[in-house]
Amino acid sequence: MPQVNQVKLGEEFIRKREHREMHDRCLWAARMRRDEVAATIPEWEEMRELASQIKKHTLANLGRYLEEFTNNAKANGIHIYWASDAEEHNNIILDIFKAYDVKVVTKGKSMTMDECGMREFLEKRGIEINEADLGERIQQLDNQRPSHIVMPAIHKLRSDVADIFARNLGSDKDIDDPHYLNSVMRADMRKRYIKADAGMTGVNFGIAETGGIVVCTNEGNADISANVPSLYVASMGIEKLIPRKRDLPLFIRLLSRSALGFDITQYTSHYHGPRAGQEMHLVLLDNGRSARLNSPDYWEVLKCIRCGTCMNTCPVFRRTSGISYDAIYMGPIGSVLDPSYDMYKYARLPYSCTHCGSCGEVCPVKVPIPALILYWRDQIVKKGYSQISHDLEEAAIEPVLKSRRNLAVAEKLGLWALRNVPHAVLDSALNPWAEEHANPEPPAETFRQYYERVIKPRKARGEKDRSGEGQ
Amino acid sequence: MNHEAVKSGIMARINAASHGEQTLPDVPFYSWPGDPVENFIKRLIGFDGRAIKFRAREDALAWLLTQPELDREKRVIYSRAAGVPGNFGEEDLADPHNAHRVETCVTEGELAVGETCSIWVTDRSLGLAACALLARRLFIFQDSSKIVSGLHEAYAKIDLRSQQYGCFFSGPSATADIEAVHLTGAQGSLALTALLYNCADAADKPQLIVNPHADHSVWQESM
Repeated sequence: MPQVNQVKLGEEFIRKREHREMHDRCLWAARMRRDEVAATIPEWEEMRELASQIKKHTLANLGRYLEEFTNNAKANGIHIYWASDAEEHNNIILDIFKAYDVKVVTKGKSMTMDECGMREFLEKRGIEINEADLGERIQQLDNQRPSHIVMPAIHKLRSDVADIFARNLGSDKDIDDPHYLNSVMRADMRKRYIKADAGMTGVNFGIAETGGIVVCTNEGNADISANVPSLYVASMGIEKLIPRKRDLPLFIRLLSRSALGFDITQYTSHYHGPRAGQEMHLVLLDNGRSARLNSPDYWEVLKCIRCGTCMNTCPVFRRTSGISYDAIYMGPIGSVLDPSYDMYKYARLPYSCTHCGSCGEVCPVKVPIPALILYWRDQIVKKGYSQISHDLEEAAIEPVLKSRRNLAVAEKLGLWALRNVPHAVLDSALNPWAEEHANPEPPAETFRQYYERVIKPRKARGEKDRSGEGQ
Repeated sequence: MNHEAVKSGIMARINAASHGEQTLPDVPFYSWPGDPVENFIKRLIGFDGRAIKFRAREDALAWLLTQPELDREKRVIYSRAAGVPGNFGEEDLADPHNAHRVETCVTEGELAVGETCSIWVTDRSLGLAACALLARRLFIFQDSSKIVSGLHEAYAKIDLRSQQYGCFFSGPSATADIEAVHLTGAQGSLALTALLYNCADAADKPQLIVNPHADHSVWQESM
């Protein structure tokens, strides 16, 4: 199986200028809204720290909390299932559907179900699965995986959506007004809700103390899916637990503000058992999570609450889109999650990073993504899965960084190149990465020369460090 | 499939992990500054919801019954609110799939939150939740003295296990899935109106408070 080449796939997206600019603009707007709304809450940073501590405590005591959660959930009338991997997960759900003679399903967004390839699995077995989230539905109709955890079709222009809906739902392909497209979706889904035999959703949080699950959405599709049919099936990764009810507001306050910069989702829904006349089933999925929990260097990745804010802030993601990661999880969190599913296939993803560190700064539960990226690079090199180009780069850079003299020579060479190599070579039109990335005007001297000329004499005279001045 | 064996395997792997003592911190009771009712209204109209203040519940009821959405000759109405007659009856409720016919749903909020403009509703207040989820328009009576400042206070007052379904409705349904354009009226309610009563400062002639910038889409009217 070939490795996913994010650089190449990213280039394809970068070449689509209109898409790239819209994508970058939308995600950056979400990031800026997140900053604005976080700034209105004095305790924001304290909340991030507390959320991180609660998650770490829960993970360190996960066995105990899973027992508490499942005992309480069963007492609430929820049927509980355990799945070691995707295959078990999918077969459990297929068996439930067979038992209830389910033919048509409406489904809310679920990364856990996506991770298991569940929709494709069930569709092959004759069950009609209708994605009910607008973005997810667009992607289903386009036969493409989601490009973002929270906004699955955010890499598409409205005209792309108009085209997809015209081909699949019979709408007017020349009308790309998002209001119109939304109404087309609404009208189409209504017909499907009416004939659904079962509804499915993912889970944002499971509360051990109460044995209930929490699902946070904006469209209402998950609530309709869960409440209308007589059968409701949800899937939850085993790491989604929080211990107590009083921990929940902390996470609810962080989730939507981090994801989109809004105070809350329109529907924050709590399920503590089936409604009258309904059956409720919950599948708990491991699929590598227990292995991650056993890694002392990597276990904190399980703190992730899937808000997607690391994607919104990532300069690589914003320009290349989630499609370029060609994986279930994308962006910074994807770069550190995907290799744990298949280290060879996703070995290049941890290299799609500029080390700006922004993902770690915005994560509401302080997943140390920058450190985990380095962790994976280390693992990938040790396994021999790294790229020859990366190995050569590292082989070349090592003697430079290890020697003061070599570094000084390299600085001068770099400055010479910036002054003398024609821009046509450095900013080749053939290289989409260079578009809109003009090289800086070459400075008069290297930093080392500046240091020797200005700062060092100052220090010798015992003056205060005023570096940055006089350049 | 032997579920007990699968569970034992997963539990054994989980319990093999050791991460020392990770203390469970106490979660402070963060409050939200300002007047809860005014915060609620400001945020609700920011989410394209509508609010209207009344001195007493009977004033709210009188106003509501004059609204065209409550015309029982023309609209399918599901009501869980005292004094508001509906026409979506017991027979209709036998199958929740019928709920798609509901045009107007009226209910009572059990609690609300100023911080997030959320109204707490459950099976108890909604009856058949499907009706509130599929209805085109939602009207919710809310006692303004039960609007708390923030989410921590709200959760402290809520007994999650007392009802199967409990939800914070925070404005009408919405989506931003197409070019991040914020659209009100996704798959759930197209409009949500909060009827706030026990408001001492309510005007003599009640005024709907709406977001002047909201895009009240023409497309939705036909549906």
